[in-house]
Amino acid sequence: MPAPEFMMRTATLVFVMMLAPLIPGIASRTRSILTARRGAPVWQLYSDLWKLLRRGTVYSRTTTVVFRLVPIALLASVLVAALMLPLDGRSAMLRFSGDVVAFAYVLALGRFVLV
Amino acid sequence: MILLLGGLSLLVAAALVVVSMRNQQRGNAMFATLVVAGCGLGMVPAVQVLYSGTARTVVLVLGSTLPGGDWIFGIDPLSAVFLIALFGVGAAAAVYGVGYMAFDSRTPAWPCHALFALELVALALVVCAQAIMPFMGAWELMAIGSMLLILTEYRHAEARRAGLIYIVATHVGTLALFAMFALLARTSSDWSFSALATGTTSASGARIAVLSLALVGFGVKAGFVPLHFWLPPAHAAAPSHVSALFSGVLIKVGIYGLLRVVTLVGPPPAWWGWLVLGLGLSSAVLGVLWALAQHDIKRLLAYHSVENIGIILMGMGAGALGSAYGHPSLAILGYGAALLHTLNHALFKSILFLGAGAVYRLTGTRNMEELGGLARRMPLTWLAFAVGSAAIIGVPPLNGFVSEWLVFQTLFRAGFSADALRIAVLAVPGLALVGGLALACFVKVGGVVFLGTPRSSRDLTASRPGLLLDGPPLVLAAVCLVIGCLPILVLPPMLIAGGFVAGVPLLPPEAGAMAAAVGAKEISILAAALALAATGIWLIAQRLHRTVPARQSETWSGAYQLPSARMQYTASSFAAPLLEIFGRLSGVRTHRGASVFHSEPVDLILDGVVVPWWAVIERAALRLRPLQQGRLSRYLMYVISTVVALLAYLLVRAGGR
Repeated sequence: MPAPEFMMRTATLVFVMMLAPLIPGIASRTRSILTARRGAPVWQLYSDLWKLLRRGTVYSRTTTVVFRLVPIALLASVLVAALMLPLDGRSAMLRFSGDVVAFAYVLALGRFVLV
Repeated sequence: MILLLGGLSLLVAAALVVVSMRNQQRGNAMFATLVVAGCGLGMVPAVQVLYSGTARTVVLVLGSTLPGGDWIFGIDPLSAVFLIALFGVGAAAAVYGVGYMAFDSRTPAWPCHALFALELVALALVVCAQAIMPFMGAWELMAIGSMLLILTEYRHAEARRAGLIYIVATHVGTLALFAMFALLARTSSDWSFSALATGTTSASGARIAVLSLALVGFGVKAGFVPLHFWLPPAHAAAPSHVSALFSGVLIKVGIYGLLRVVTLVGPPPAWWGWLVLGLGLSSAVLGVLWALAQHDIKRLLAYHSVENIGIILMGMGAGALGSAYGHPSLAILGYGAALLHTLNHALFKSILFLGAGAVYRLTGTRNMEELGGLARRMPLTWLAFAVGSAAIIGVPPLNGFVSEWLVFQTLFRAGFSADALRIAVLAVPGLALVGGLALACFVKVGGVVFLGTPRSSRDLTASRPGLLLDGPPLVLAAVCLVIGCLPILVLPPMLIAGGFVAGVPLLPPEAGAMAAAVGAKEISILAAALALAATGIWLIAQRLHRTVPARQSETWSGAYQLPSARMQYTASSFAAPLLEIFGRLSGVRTHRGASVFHSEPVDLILDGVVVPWWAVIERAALRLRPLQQGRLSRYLMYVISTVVALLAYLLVRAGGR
């Protein structure tokens, strides 16, 4: 893959990841409009994330190293799943026979570590 | 072949050593070394056969004066797959077994070790036998050896009952096999498998009978629903390294037998393929469902073996359908997927059984409701167990994913074909459901047993499991990871073996090209991407932690002052909502109270069908008891009347001609 195209694709990926928190925002706003409530603003998740990133972390004494590794693994699985989607109108970066199943199972990996 | 014989004789030597040096440290060490050396030596020819693709039917003929013609042994690609699984699991389980048996001072360890080594020999002979007589001989040796292994802890009534159920079940299977081989041998010149393979393309009625009898005879050993009933009690009662061998290898011999019959009678008809696919699907779904209901960790794992046998059968059924409808590449892929899943299941199920055994030894219980928080005390066991559970669920980048994904691909490809084969794609949602339920089940096991805080005040007899208990599962876990990350290493040989079963021999380059075509390389890229993304995110997280420090505290538990272990989620409660969906099929009895929720699993087949019928047979047998009363004159009369009856039969038959 030539360098400029690689840059483009990485940029797309980053863009998609940045855009992701907007979707739940839109969904909840739509729901609140439909039920005639005022509801949270569309940008709610961004401000939540910003606030949480500035806070410290508290680990429970009953938890194990899993508790620290899970967020990393979860984010990684979502990122790799995103690699397998045809994002910007071109074919996906990772593409092979049976990739539908692989896509589902990468997301399952995320589920597994989450629960 | 000579190497294999050398390996087998080392195994026999190991058994002799452990018998002659009873209960000595040095004897045990020598035993473990000899078994590992024997397994290593035996694996060499198997790997050679599998990677070169040329069947090394190097024939070992023991004099023709033996009953049943020549006793022929040899390795072809099909036996090679099972030999590799056998020797891999066998070596790891034997080393572990030395550590495992040392925990129990009341049960003498040497009979178990000696039988274990001999059982490995019997299993190797079963998969290498190339004629009826040696096959059946080794088969019986294996059946009896495994019953004695179940009875290692014969002081427990549970083990005695399991042994009884097992021996009855296995002999019912053997009976079906006798009938099957008798039918097969009717039309062939001698009793070697090569003669059978050329001789049995005749009557379709005989073929139907042979294939059905094979499903019963080998099905009892493989343990798919509804023939699985012997499996959970036997796996739970046997020592853990023996359970690993049972689940990893012994039940796979049933799969081996089915595939061997396919090579003997040629491409099976379509109905057989559909039947196998259906049996596989129902066994996979019911197996995982019943697993979810269990509290005994080893019974739970045993039901997962039922599930995985189901997945293997699905691959096999798809393969059989592929050859029945004239799609050879589909047949190769299906059989290859089944074989790869066989190997993979042997690896990860052994890890899980060995891990469960370590838990049992250190806590004295297998009941998950009493366990908890073990990750802190046995971190290495937990690590291996976590890898094993991720592999059995089938998430990338582990080996379980590779083979389940191959099965999925076979089914999808079947869906694209023009004929009735298309319907096979309907099995896909079933397989997906199995994956989901397996995920829930292993989250339950991993979460309840290893995470959280201890649930009961069971003292740990030792602080750490030690290297003997932790080492072997960790080695197997590493193999799982390698296969999961670099499937190109194992896919071509499995496709070669699949081609062998399908009757379409493949050369290594062709198999390599086929493996590349199904996307073996992309799996590696996927694994690399996962690792890369995880490291990247970890680095960023480290960065963040430097600016905002982390601290530790108790779990916030609402307004309670003292969080207690009883407040945790239990295994019963975790599984309850899922099990409720399936109603009576899930096989649990539940008790609800104001503050109590309790469920107990029941085996629908064993308790609902087999045991009642057993009672009927027993009553019928009692009627026959007056025949046997120890009077010599009576017995002489029986002999005479039998002779007279046989003579009369001969007379009538001669008259009929």
